[in-house]
Amino acid sequence: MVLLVTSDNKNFVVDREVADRSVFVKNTLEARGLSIATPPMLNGGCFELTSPFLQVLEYCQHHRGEPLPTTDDANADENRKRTTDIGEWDRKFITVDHEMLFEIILAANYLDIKPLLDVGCKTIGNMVKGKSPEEVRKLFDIVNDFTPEEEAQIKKENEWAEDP
Amino acid sequence: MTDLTQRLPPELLAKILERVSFPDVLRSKQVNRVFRDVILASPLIQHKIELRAAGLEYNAAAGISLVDSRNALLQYRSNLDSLRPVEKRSFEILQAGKVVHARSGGGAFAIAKDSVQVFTLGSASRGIPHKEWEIPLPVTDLEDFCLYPGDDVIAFVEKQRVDGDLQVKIHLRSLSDGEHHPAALVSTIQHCWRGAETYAISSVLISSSRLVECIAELPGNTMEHLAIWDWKKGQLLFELEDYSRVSVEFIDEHRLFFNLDPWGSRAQSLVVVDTEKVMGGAPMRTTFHLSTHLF
Repeated sequence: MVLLVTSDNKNFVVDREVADRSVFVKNTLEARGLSIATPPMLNGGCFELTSPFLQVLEYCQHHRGEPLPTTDDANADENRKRTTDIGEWDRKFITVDHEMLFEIILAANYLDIKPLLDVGCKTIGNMVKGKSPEEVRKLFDIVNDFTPEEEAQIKKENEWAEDP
Repeated sequence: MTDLTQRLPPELLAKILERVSFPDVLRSKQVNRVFRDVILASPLIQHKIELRAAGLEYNAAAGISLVDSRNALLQYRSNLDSLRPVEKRSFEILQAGKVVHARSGGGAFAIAKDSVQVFTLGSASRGIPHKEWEIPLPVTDLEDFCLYPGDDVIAFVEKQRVDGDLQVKIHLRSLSDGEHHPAALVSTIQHCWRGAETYAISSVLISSSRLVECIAELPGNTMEHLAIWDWKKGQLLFELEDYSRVSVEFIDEHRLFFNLDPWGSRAQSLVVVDTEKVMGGAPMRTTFHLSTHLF
């Protein structure tokens, strides 16, 4: 069993197998020979920590014991990126509001949980799919900060590739 | 605050955009500056765009690695670099203050000034020699001309305005010596367009059996009248009126391909007119309608 402490001082006792889903936690534990880890990202203090962390733990518990993706197989990595389909359980898991989705992606990135990061990125990628720039802006509260000239310039640059 | 571009660092936005399809990447570039800069800064996305521009596709799912696709791109570039014009020639065709007609067709190029200079566009790689020769110009006021080297024919067109009509004369000559064409029954076809004094010849076309005359009221006007001839027999086959065309070409000896724009609208259609097959006194038309968004 491993004790994980978040920056708002909540303690989580989890199986080693679950904690090891995070390459960051795994490496930390292995390097220090410890059974207590404090993910430093969560020390940043800028997030509501517990709720995304609980989500991440749920993900790790569900996928415990699965083989971790190897980092040296670039092709497999590319394949994973290419396919846009997400497993049934993961899809339900990631069906959360945007704020939580961003938090999960940030946490997965920091804790180095590649498959979870992948699911998060694919989810946003799928949201962008087929949408106009304006629709994407609306969906993610993005302000259009282009000058009309810049906008016209990009449109012009894109012309060559546009379908008839 | 849920603005994606403020909540996720650029490296994570890059991870997201590296997963989306090519059209989505292009659209995403228009979202805002953060999206644009992430796309411009991502080597993987730029690689995908380069591949696409080369007519190749990034396809990791098919087991094509980055190394493979990079090699394919390098091969494509070296192929491009190896493309060189085999030969280069220049022609002096412009003379100050004088209208010069230049026409090409079937591997020959002709320039009509005081006489007609003809060039075959030879190719060293295909063993076709260059040839240049000169034939006399049979008219003093040349309106237009067209040539079809396959049948050794060149047709010169002149027009006259007589009593409100447009008189057209088409002189058929042998392309090789400028003499009477041996296969043509008459050396000059004459045609009178009644009441068309204000019309101009917009173009003439010739194939191995047909000749097409196009006249329009104003230069550049697309509302045209066409006359289709069997030039060997000197026989007028059809007159087609109000053909509002964008372009016309021969597909083969007797079939014409029109890009029509019937009412000056954007509802264009492609029409194949078969001058061999007649229905109700007019040549048979096959129309292919195009949806407007193509244009």
